[in-house]
Amino acid sequence: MTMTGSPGGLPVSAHRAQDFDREAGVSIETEPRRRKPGELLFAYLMLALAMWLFWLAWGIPGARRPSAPGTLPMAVCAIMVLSALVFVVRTHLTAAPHRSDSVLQRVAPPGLVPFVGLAALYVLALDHAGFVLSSLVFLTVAISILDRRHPLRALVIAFGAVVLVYLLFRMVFQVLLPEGFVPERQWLAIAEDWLRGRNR
Amino acid sequence: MENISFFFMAWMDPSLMILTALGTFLGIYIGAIPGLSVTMAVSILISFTFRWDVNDALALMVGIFMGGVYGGARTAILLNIPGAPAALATALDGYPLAQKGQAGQAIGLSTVMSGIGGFVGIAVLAVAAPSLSEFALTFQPRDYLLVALLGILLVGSLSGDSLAKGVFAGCLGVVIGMVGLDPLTAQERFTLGYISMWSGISPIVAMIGLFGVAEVLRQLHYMGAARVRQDIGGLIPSLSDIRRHLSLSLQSAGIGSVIGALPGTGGDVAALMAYDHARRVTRNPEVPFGQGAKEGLIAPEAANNAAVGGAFVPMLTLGIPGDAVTAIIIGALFIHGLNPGPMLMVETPYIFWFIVGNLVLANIFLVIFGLTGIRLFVRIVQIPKGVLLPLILLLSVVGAYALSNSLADVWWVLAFGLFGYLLKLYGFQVGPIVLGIILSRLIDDNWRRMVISERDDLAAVLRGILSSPLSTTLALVVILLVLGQTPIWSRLRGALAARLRRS
Repeated sequence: MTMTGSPGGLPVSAHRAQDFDREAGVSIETEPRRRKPGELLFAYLMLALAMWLFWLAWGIPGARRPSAPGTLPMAVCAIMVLSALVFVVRTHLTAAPHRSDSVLQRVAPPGLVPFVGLAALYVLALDHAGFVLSSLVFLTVAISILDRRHPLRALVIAFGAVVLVYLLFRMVFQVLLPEGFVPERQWLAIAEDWLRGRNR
Repeated sequence: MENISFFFMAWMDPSLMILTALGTFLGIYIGAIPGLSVTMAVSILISFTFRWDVNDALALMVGIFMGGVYGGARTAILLNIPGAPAALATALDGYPLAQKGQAGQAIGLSTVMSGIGGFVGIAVLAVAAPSLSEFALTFQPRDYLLVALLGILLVGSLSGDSLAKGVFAGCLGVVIGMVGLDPLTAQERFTLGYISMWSGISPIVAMIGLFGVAEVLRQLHYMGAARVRQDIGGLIPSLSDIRRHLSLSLQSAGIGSVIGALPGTGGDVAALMAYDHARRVTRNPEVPFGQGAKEGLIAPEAANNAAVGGAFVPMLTLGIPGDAVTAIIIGALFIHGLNPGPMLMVETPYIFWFIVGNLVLANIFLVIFGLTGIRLFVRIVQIPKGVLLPLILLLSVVGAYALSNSLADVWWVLAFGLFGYLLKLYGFQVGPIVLGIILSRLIDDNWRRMVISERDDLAAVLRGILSSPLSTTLALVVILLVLGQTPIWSRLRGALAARLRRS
């Protein structure tokens, strides 16, 4: 998505804001808002979540006094349910999405599903293959998918990044990183001993 | 006065000074690069720095905060992409200025004005906080409860689509914060029977997921890179320019400090309100607003940096965050064993003066770094998203793991990330969730205290509220916020948008 100034002089970023974000958006809407695909479903899911949490809060044992451990949770969940009802109704009142907008397209732009899948695999691998190896693989694959240039470039960047992060985190932040079947610490220790041995 | 010595702590100690400088420098880039955010960075940093001394950690975070709020302006001006929500209003007049070839001037002016705004905010902090903290000692539990409620409502009313979604998010945060054993009765709450849930869900994990991973996923929608097309000239603004706009920038800084001091609201709201104020107050701008009016550039920039100092006021006096970043910093203080709240100023006053001194130092560095190094900046800011996003995910994973060396935390972060992404997609805000989590304990404690002291008699609680002018005022404000058909801020933003449409 390239950013060029629109002919009228109004910054285009304001238009961008309306598409995905309504966070702090000064959104400029030219037609009545339509629901995003999946928005109604999500609203109902949130209502269900609120009701489930309320049920959990209801189940907290203890007298029904204001100072009981379950009272505040129940009150908060009740407010959640009420507000969920409000936005479910509001979402119903909003126009249905364009026929052409598919849930999949809007919710998952190209790259999202592979990226999430890759991230999950990465975390799974962390325990078994250790930080260095898993990160190297993850970064290389992710960067080559997203950046779409030569995978070798991705590998080089990944390598540099992992080295930098590793040094930074071991030295500066003193953070322990998951070790897998690549016994980095043993290798480092062996390397240190060998260096010391050479100097004898 | 020994307080002065604490003020200068960051100035005398070379490592602290370096950390502040580093933080400010990094903050400028983090604030500028779309895809990175200050909330994301500070969340991840809390976990990394938890073995550090608290002063070192604070110096770094304060620097990033100051730099980040300003940094968003640069990409707003150069690329029309605000790097941070606080810079949204800056793009409106900053980008047209850049298109006219005045990018350098725009950046220089916004830097100086940010610096001025920052100083005003810090001055407000230094003056208001000590007096407010004395006043805060008279706060009853009900007052804390009401202020916390106010904060969540304010943030909620600025949210995505509606107050309902904002309240929902805030309540969700409070519930998440209540997961675990009840501190008073050791009763299991929301633990689903799992012992591993007894200690609750770490707020840091939630923050890294909601602010870090969710943002990465959201950025996948905006993969196209923008190129800086302009020729950037000299950055140092002329003295006459500064003098001409000084009054407006001071007014904007005032607005910014006050809004920053309101619990929950921060730089982004401050910037919008200051922009609106500038429009109303400037009679004959040499260039119309929206086409490169300098007034439209300096007002939001002065305001959003002033909001930084302002945000620390409630945070250090009441333990209630003035905005999202101070909410995260409260988390950091907890981790380092400090107790944000009115007792903070009493038990550990050095923290207050240290932060003030640090903020001033960071502000100075901001002006220095802001007026230099533009070429390096342009290079780095154009880093392809395809490289940036996986890196951020890596850092988030490491940040999650570093907390307690457990992969379970990493899975939680991913889960929060996915959930946060869906929330953002469908018009919810994640800010209220984090605020809710941070305030959850405070709300629970004060509710219990309030109710137990009246022996479970709710009518007596109500009488108590009405008997205190402070409590009554707070309660009225809360009720007004809820009853207002359209929440104040979104109406204001709607009006602002309408005016922009007409221009």
